[in-house]
Amino acid sequence: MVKSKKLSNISILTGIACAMYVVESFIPLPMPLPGVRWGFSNLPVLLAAVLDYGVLSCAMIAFGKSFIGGLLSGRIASATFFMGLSGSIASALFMGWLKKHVPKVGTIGISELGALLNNTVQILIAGLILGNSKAVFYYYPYLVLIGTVTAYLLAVVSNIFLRSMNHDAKV
Amino acid sequence: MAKRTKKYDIFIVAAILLFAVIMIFLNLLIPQKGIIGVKVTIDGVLAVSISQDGLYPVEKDGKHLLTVEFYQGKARVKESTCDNQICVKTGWISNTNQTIVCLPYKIVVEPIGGKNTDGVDIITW
Repeated sequence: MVKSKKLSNISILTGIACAMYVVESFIPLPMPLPGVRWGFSNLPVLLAAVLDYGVLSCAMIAFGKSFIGGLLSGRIASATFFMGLSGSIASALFMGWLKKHVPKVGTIGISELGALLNNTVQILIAGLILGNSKAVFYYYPYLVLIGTVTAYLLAVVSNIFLRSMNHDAKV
Repeated sequence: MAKRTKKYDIFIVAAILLFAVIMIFLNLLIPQKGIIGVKVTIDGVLAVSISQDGLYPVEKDGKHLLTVEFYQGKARVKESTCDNQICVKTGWISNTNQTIVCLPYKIVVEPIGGKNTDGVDIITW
């Protein structure tokens, strides 16, 4: 792909991710888990991963999303901001790597594994900030469960995008 | 058309779901004991230990942070001066496998386990 086209695509995806980051807090969860969000804003990161934009591009979108989204929502530099930032960057790097080096895993697999890593890293960071990992571990199974649902939905949407973009013609 | 959903995807989803469900069951299997008190830690350091009903303000360096309420074997954060209010929204806790966490202040409200307060071993429905 032409370099400038890739650059503009990454910028568009980052913009969409920021908007979704702010809007997704209005969507209620099926169970009362304070402080937990769906994570729909990971869609552009997943798209960049399955379009094979590379590990660095995915991480850049994840960083842009957390940073600009944090500025817009007023969550910047708080504990939850650092949890989200580290979680999404870790999962972005992992998803980009999976697409490049593990061809046996499809869109759903990439999305699910990315979500799992995202949740694991967030819980670990929360435990680190608190200095007490036992306290936050109570949340972990529910996070994983919600992450699985979100990841599946995002993978389905990504596949629809891929079809519309006729991505197969280029592969 | 290239296949976008591959064989391994189903295994991955199944494995992750199984993982989550097993963890939730393990959490439920831990004996549900009534709590006889809670201890409040700030940044891992014990701030106050509660075993009597009442309201307990938690302070650090003279600044009021939050108020913990303990009432008839249940505990909650009644109000907090933190910015996201997650600890307040957590509500009442009454089991030893639950905790209330306030990330901005690094405060953890942990139950202290005790005997079964109501004499019921297992509740099924």
